[in-house]
Amino acid sequence: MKAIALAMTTFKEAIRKKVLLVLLVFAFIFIGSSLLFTYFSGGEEIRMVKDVGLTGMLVFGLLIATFLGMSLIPTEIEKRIIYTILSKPVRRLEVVVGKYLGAALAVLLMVLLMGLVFMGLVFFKEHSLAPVTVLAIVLTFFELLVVLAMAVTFSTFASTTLSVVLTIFFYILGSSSDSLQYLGGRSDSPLLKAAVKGFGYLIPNFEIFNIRSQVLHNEAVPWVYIFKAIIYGLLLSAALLIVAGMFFQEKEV
Amino acid sequence: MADVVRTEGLTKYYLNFWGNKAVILNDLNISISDGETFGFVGPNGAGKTTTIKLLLGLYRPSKGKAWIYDRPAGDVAVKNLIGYLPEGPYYYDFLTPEELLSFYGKLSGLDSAKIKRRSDELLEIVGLSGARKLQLRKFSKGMLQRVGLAQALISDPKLLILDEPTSGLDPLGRIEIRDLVLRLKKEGKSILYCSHLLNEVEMVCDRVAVIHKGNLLRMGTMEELLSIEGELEIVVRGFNEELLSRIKEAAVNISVLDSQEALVTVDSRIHADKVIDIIRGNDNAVLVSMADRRRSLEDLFVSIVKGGKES
Ligand SMILES: Nc1ncnc2c1ncn2[C@@H]1O[C@H](COP(=O)(O)OP(=O)(O)OP(=O)(O)O)[C@@H](O)[C@H]1O
Ligand SMILES: [Mg+2]
Repeated sequence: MKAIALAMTTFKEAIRKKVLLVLLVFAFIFIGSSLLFTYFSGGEEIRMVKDVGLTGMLVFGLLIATFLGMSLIPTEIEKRIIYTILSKPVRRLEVVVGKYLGAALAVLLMVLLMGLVFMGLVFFKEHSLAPVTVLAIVLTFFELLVVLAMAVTFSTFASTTLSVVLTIFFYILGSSSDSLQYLGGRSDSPLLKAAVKGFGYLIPNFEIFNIRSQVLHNEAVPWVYIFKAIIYGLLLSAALLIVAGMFFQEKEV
Repeated sequence: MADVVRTEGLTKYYLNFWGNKAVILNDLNISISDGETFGFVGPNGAGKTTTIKLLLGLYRPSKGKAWIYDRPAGDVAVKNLIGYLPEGPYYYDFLTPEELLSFYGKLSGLDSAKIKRRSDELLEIVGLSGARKLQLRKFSKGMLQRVGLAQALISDPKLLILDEPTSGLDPLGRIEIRDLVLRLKKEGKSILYCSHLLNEVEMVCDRVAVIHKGNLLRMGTMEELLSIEGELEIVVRGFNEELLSRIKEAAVNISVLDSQEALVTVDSRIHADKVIDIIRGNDNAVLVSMADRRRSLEDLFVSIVKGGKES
């Protein structure tokens, strides 16, 4: 109940941010720009629309999640609203979770709006909408939930700039973890192999959420896979929030 | 222990880059008993707000401990008993007072019916009924301060921690808030009252502590701190020159208040007796009042803060 109250105000606060509106407009322009690629052949053009659309959703989604996540707790401290909040019987972890849920709701709204434009575009070109396209959007949302949790966690101990840098750094690292594992696996040194493997467990694996090639080729993805990816995203976010809660607990505000 | 607030050796310091200590609060021992209004005064940067943050668990002490209702400071379990008005507060400015109170009510774990009732009541009390549907970003400083008070009172707490509750308010608003505090005091609430307005503190508080540069310089009841040892003031009506010259022999000072009354200061009870005898012996003169001579809190503040550390 307390977390819900925090979530609702955080959501209201988030959707009032002008930066969000600007990013959304740019995302629409980006996704829509694929309409200009008319010089490709039929099948090629549809793939182009899907590729650009998914990339646009992901990139702008990342910007939105990082921006929301990094400022979630610091602005509360800066504006001194946190004093009155913490003077009420709420635990600090509850504050982190409540605020996170509100921001997650805002991210959901953004993904829905971008997704609607994207799906509309695909339907316009293909006259049908494969389930895998919708699932790709769903997975993008859960991927962004992890990014949001990451940004929140970093912001509880690092400065705003550093939080952004760390979030982007770990995102890039986590998006190439499969290639990293592949390279590590080919190494001759068992020590390096083990190190890369251990590292792999520490870094979130964002490639799990990536089903872009299946979308481009209209291949079905098993439900179990989707389900597992969602669970992975949720568990990872929860773990990150617990860490964030521990850092925030120690913080003097 | 029936103490509402108690600190033992409460200390806060920061280590700078070179490892030197910047002591913000040094070995503070205070206690506030149930129903007491405790004034906390000191120059800017004295450590008042720091103390409050330590009491609420917003800061962690470097040394020492603090308890609120016998629970360690910062304990979530007692937070419903505390109402806190921070200094220079800020609230979500896209909310209306009603929405804001509902938010804080939910954080306090109240149900919607109770929140509705309390917020109607409180908006009335702080004089914001007319602005209940107005967004906070359209509020003046004084209106925000009132919302802040309403927010602090939402769970009907037993202890109020008010950090400069009347700052930013106009003279009338200040009187209203002061009256509200007096009313809360009458209801039996315990209050920690921080302010730079010493006459206000003098009117509202039972006990007061003066801190300066993190050190507690003086603490005591208003009576103890403000009455001047042994000196008494007598007001006499219907005097004449002859009477005054006789009184003068026993008095330290005589000042004529108006054509009717004069204020006589004496330095002991014996001298007071003498003056009273003289007045009684005169058919035209009447004894109006006699009381311990008091100084103002301001005088005391200036003398101890300028004089540095005292016992
Ligand atoms: N993080 C910090 N590092 C170093 N010094 C700090 C820190 N936070 C606060 N201070 C110092 O602590 C001192 C006490 O501040 P505090 O806010 O408690 O004073 P105050 O008595 O409330 O003053 P005012 O009447 O101006 O509100 C100030 O001198 C401030 O500079
Ligand atoms: Mg202060």
